[in-house]
Amino acid sequence: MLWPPIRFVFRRCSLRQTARSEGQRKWPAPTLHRLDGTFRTIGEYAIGHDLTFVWLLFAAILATFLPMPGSHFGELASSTLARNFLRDLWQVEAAVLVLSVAVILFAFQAVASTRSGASVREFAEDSWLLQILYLGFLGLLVDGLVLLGVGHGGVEGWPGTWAALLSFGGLFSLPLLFARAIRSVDPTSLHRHRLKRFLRAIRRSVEADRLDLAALRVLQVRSKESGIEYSLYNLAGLLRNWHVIKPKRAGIVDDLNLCGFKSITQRSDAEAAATFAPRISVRLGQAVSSDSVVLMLAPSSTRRALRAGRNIVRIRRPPTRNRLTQAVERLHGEAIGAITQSDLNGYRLIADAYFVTITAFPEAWAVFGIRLSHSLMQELYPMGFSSIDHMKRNLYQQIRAIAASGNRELADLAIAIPYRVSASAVEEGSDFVFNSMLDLLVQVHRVFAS
Amino acid sequence: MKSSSPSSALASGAWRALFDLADYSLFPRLDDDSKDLDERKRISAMMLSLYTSITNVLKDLVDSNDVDAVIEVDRRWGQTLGLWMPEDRTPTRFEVDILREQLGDGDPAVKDAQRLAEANEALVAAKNQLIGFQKSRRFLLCAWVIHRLLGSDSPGEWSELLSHFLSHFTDLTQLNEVTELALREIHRGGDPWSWWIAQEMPEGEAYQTSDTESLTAFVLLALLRIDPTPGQFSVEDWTDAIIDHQAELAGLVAQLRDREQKLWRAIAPPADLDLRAESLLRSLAAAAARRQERNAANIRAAAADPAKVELFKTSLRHGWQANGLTRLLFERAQRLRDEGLGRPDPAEPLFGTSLWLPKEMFLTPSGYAGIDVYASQLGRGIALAEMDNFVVRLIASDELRMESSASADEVVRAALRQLSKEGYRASVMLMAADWRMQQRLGLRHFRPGEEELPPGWTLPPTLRYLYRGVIEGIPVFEWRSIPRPRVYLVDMGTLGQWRQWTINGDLLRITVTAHSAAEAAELVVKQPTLQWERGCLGRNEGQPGS
Repeated sequence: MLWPPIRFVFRRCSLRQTARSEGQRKWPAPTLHRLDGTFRTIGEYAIGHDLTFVWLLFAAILATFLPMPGSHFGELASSTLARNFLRDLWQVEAAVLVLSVAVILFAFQAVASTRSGASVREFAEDSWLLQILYLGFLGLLVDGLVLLGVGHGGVEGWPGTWAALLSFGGLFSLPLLFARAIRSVDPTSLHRHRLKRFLRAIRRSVEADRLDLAALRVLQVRSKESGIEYSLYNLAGLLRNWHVIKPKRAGIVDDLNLCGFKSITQRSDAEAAATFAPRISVRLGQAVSSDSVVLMLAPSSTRRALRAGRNIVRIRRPPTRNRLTQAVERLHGEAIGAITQSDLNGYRLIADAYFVTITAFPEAWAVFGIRLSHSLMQELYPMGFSSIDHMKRNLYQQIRAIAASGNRELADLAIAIPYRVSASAVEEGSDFVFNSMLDLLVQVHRVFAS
Repeated sequence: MKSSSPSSALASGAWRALFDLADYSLFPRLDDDSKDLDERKRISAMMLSLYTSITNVLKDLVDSNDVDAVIEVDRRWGQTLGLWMPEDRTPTRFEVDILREQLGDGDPAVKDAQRLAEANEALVAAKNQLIGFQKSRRFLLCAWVIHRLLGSDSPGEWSELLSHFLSHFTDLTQLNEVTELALREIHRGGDPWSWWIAQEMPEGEAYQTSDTESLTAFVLLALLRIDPTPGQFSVEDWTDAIIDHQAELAGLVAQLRDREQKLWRAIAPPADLDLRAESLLRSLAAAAARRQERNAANIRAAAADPAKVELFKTSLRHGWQANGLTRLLFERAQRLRDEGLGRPDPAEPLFGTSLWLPKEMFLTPSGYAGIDVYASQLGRGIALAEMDNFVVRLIASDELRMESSASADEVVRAALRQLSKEGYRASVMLMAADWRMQQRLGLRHFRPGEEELPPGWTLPPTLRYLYRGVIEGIPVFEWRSIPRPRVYLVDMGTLGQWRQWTINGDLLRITVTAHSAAEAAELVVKQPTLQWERGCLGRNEGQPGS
C-alpha cells in the first residue's frame, strides 16, 4: 500500500489526468489545433519568459565550444585580422544597440500613451522587439567573451565566426526593428494584436473549461460509484459533529485523489455507511480559502478514512495573472476612457473587439464539437461568473456611462454590440450568448427609458 | 404619455434591435424548409427567449405608462411570426394514414411521408408554443396593468393601457385557455410575475407568489365578455386551473360587482353587470360540480396502476422491516422461530389501521404524490404496534417487580443482581421516555451516526433514535408507551418466542382492494380482534376511498 500522496501522482488516481484523457476522448480537438497549441505553449516558455535571455546566452556561449574545425569566414582564419575585426564590430554593435534601445523606448512610450488595450509587456511580446534586442545583446556579449578567449579554437576558429554571425544577425535585424516598431504603434496594428491576444486567451480559457467540465463529470461518476455525495453546497452548519476537512492553504483545487475515494467511505459501522455518505464539495479549478469545506465525513468514520480525507485534495497557488480577465478589464477601462472623452473612433474599435471576443467563445467550443449552451455554462459556472458574464456586466456599465454622457453616436455603437453578437450567436447556435445579449438589450432599454 | 426625446429614441433603438433579430436572424431560419428539424426547434427556443425579453421591455413601458410605445411594441410582437403557417403544410397524419392503407407500412414513400408529417407536427407544436407564450404573457401584462392601476391614486391614467391589453381577449374560449396557461406558469414558478414584484420590494421583505391579479384580470375580462344569456358558453369548457380557484373567483366577482370599485373608474362597467356576475358564478359552480362528478366516476372506473401497487407493497414491507424492534430483539436472543408456510393461529390478534387511503392514490395520473411515504408509514405503524403489544404484555406480567427509593442507578444494578440470582440473564433494557432518569443512569440521546453500540450489535438507522446507550453491557432502548418512571430489564431468551409464518415467501401479506365507505366499515366490524396500529386510531378524518 502506497502512501496516498505518492499514489496520487499515478495517472489513474489523479482526477486531472483522468479528466484530461476523458476530455480528449469525449470532445477531441483536431490534430492541427492540438499541435498549434503545443507549439505556442513551447514558444511562450522558450522565448516569452522573463529568463529567456539567460538561457539564450547560455546556449550562445555553449555554441562557441562546438568542435567545428575549419568553419570560418575567409579572412577570419588569421588570428590578428579576426581579433581586429571583432574588436571593431563590437564597438559598432554597441552603438547600434544603444540606438535600438532608444527605438524600443520610443515605441514603449508611444504604446503607453495610447489606449491600446495592451500592457507594455504584451506589446513587447507581440512586436518581437525584445527578441531582436536580445539578439543584439547576445552578439555583443559573445563578441566580448570570444575576444577574451572563450570557446574552442580561439578567435580565428569557430568561436570568432559564431560571434561575427550573431553580431551580423543583430545588425541586420535593426531595420526590421525600426519597421516593426513603427508598424506596431499604429492603432490598427495595435487593435489587430489585441484581437489576436484575446483569441489566444479565449482559446486557453475554453480549453481549461473543457478540462474542468470533463473533471466535473468524472468526479460525479466516481463519487457516485464510491458512495460519496458530490454537492457544491456543504452542510457544515447542519451536520454537527461531522469531521470537516479543510484545505491546508488557500488557493485553487489542482487535483483530487480518486484512489482515496474508497478509503474515505470506510466506516466503523457498515450499516451507517450506507446512510451517512461522505460529502465532497470541491471540484477541479475551484478557488478555496483555508476555511472552505473540502470534505465532510460522518462521525463514525475510521482513522484511515480521515487520513485519506486529509490527502484527498491538492491545492496550488492561484495564478498570478489571468490573461483573459486582465484583457477584459483593460478593454473595459479603455472603453470608459473613450466614453469619457467622447472618442467615437476609439469606441468603434472597442465595440469591434467586444464583438470579436464574445463571438469567439462559441467558435472555440465548436472546435471540440460542443455547443455553448446555457446548461453547459450553468454546469461550469453555477454562480454565473464566466468571462461572458463579466463582459456583459462591463458592457452594461459602459451603457450607463454613455446614457449619462448623452452621446447619441456612442449609444448607437453600444446598442449595436449586443445586436451583432446575438445575430452571430443564432448562426453559431449558442443560446447562452444569445440570451446574455438579449438580457443586455433589455437592460439597455431600461437604462435609456428611465 | 412621454414625449419623444433622445433617450427615448435610444430606448426604442434597443427594442427595435430585438425585433430586427426576430425579423432578420430568427424568422428566416424558422421558415426555411431546407434547415433540419432540430435546427428549427433550436431557433424556435431562441425565439421564445426573445419573447421573454419583449415581455420585459413591455413591462418597463407599462411602468412608464408609455401607451404609444406599448402599442407599437405589441403590434410588432404580433408580426414576428409573419405568415408562417406550418399547419398548412402537407402531408398531414391523416394523409399518411391514407397512403399507408394504399401502399402498406413498409413502403419507402410511406416512411418518407411519415417523417415529413412528424416534422410538420413538431413545427406546428413549436408555433403553438410561441403563440401560447405570447398570449399568456399578454395576459400577465394585463394583470400587471391592473396591479399598477389598483396601486394608483388616479386609475383613469391607466385606462388606455388597460383597454389595449383587454382588447387582445375577445371571447371566453380564448380567455379560458390563456388564463390556464398563465396560472400554470405562475404555479410552476416560471412566470416573470414574482420577479417583477420582487424588484419593487423594499429590502428585507418577502413575497409569496400570488395569482390574485391574474384572477382579477380573468374576472374582469369574463364579466366584460360573458353573454348573460344562459347557454352561450358551455360550462364544461372552464379549465381545471380556473375551477381550482372557484372560491377565490367568487370573492373577486363579489368585489367587482361593486360599481365603485377602482377598476371601473378606468373602464366603464357594463350596464347589466349584476346579471353577468350571476351568469359567471353559475357557470363556474356548474363546471365545478360537473368536474367533481366526472372525476369520481373516473376514479370508480379506473383500475389501479400495477406499478404503484407494487411500490406500495415494497414500501410497506420496507417500513415494517426497518422499524421492527420487537422482531430484532427476539432474533438477537435467538428466539425467532420460522414456522414456514402456513397461516398463524386464527385466534391470534390481528393488527389493523384506521387510515383510509383514497383509491386515486393508486391511479395514474393522480393528484396524490408520495404513495411510498404513506406505505412506509403504514409499515412503520405495524412495527410500532408490535412493539406496543409486546410492552403491554411486559406491563401485564410484572415479573420480579422491584420498587425502591434508592437512586435509579442503584435500583437498576440491584435488579440486575436479583435477576441473576433468580437465574435470568437480562439481554435488553426498555425504559420510559424520561430524560431525567436517563441522565441519572448516564444515558443520552445520540446524534445520527454517533451511536456507540455494544459489540456485535447492529441497528438499522431507522431504529437508532430509540437507542440510549449501555448499562452493564446491556443495550437500553426508550419506548414511549412505557409508563414513567418504569424500567424493564428483559431476558429475551426466556421471556418468549417470536413465531413467523411465510406466505408466498413473504412475511407480510399485502392485498390492495378498493372498498366503498360502507364496505370498509363493515370489514372493520367483522374483525373484532384488530390490534389498532398506534397513532392511527381516531385519526381518520377522511372518508374511505370510493
